[in-house]
Amino acid sequence: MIVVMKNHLLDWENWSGTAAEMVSEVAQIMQEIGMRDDGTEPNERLIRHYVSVEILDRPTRVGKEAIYNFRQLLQFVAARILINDGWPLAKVAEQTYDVSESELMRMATSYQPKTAAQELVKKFKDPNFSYADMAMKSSAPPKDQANVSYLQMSQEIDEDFDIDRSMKLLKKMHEREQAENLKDEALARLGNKKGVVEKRAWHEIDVTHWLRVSLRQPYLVRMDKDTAERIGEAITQVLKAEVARRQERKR
Amino acid sequence: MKLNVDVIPRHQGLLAGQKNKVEFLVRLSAPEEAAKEFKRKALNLAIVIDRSGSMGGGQLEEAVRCAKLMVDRLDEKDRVAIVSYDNDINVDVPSTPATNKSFIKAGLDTLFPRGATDLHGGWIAGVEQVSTHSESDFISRVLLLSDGQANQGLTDTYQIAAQCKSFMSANVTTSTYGVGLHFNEELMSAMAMSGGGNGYYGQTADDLIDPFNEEFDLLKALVATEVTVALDGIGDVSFELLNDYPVAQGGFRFPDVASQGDVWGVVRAMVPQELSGKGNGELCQILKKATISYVDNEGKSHSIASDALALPSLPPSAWNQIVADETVENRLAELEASRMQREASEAARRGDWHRVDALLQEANLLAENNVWIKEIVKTLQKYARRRDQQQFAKESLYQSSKLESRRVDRSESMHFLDMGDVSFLRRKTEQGKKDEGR
Repeated sequence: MIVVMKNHLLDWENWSGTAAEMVSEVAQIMQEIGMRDDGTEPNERLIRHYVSVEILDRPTRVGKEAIYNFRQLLQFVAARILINDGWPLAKVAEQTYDVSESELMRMATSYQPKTAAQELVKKFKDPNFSYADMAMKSSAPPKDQANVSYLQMSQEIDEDFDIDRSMKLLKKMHEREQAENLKDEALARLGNKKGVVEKRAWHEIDVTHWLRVSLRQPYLVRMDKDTAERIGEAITQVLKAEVARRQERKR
Repeated sequence: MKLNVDVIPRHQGLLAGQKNKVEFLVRLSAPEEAAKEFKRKALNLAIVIDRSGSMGGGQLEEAVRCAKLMVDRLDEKDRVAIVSYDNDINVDVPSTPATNKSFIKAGLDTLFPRGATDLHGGWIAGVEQVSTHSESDFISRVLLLSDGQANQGLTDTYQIAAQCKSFMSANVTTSTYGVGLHFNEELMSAMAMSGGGNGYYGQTADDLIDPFNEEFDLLKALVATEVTVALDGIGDVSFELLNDYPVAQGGFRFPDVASQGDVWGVVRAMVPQELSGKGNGELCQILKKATISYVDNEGKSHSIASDALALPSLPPSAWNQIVADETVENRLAELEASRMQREASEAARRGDWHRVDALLQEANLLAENNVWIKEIVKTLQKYARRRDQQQFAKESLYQSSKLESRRVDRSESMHFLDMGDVSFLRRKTEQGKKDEGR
């Protein structure tokens, strides 16, 4: 791929022209190498700026015209690749100004189009990226970001992320998580630090007005006669032991 | 390579003059010749390891051991990166061809436990490593291992899962490995579910080896990735997919297809009364076609269509005689058991053990003809009896995911659990434990 690209750039080897002409040549080269430029569109002012910060060599003067050549074309393309990769201008200048033409050629042909995943990494790692901002790119009027509730935000993310059932489930989970945290804090204030609350359905049988038998509902549903007998026997033994203990204490 | 597509209705008929709920199975499998002439796709992996302080006590060593075994199983055409994280992120081995394995494994030897858990930061560093080659001829996947709760950087489950889903669409999938009993199973399983990979956990570090092997066997056996299924109905027929597969590119994103085993989804179609016919046996079409799009191992994109689904319109007397298709019934029972277990997992986290017991009793009814569900319920009842919240919530959540998205061996029996040779087709009775039978 690099060889093909090199040959292609060599088509411009004998090129020279004004800043205005360079703009269209650069646009053509960038299109040839498949480069999507994230930054400013090439223009005459940008070319002159790059000259002033020593990214590009100074053009030669022919009468009143400033004339650029192949080396400056290579410098410009190399600079755009480096800037797209996140290099600051000062560092770009160090890599383009005082280097050989073959090194510039290497840089100008090193462009690899970013994969969709690389573009996403860049977006998600950007400290300024927020889901609320993504929500705002819709046609809705701008909102006060601080007032975007989680639910509103999630609904708007839904549109961006082609939301599906699994994501809706997550949203539900998140809401529940928040409710659980509030519950845990309230329980901790009551001394229940584990935050675990057990719920049981009980069936109560008033045998007389002073004797109540409480049973967990599922056990009552499943109970057979033998179990009822064993429960009766166990209660008898427990009560007998209790009576014996009381008598012991009296003595 | 052309996948096999079957559309199998639960009942071979529509009840005339009524609104009908029609369930049908969409089943995808590799043709037999794919297994014979199998040429696997190269792997582009990032192994992301939690080295926070809680990974002490042998867990980190075991994770490193598993990662090394994985590196050993890679071929020269594969790529691998090693990333570790606590509150700082380290790229220990940048994405590199798996040629110099001792160099890659040496990168793993430098890890020791310390610090907090920037799980998202570690994961995205792993994504960054595989992203350079994510549009070439690789299967790109991040394998994220953690024993804890994300407590640094981005920690919101919803936002992290949304990012996983975005990366899945950009060909980078995520599988997660939870270890121990204190990791955030909701976050880890949500990342795998949204990220197009697999979610695993091990109760101890020693239990991790099974899922690592399973993942690797599966990655090496894949014949079709980026699989989406789009349904084209008739008139006002509406469709609902009962599995929780993500939506992508105008269809449902099904699991990747391996050389062995069926990938499946059960669809519920709502057929309006006017399309149910007059009960004279005439065929009523409800599905024009299911369109399946996927990429094969040579990087070629395919789009194939299933046959249409048309069912005879029957009077009640004839409709009541229909015997439901056994395969569809089994998948439906597994989906229902999956739903109950997910609910039971949530109930356990709330401490609502009464609801847990009731759900397990219901699940037991489904287990009548399915020995796997029976064994799963038995295991869960063991944890429920102990009121073991952490273990119950994790086991039920991971079994729930497995039940609804597993690959099915067509020759498996519903009456006994066999120990097949293919790790990713095995029906484990306990997801968090190493299979002692092997």
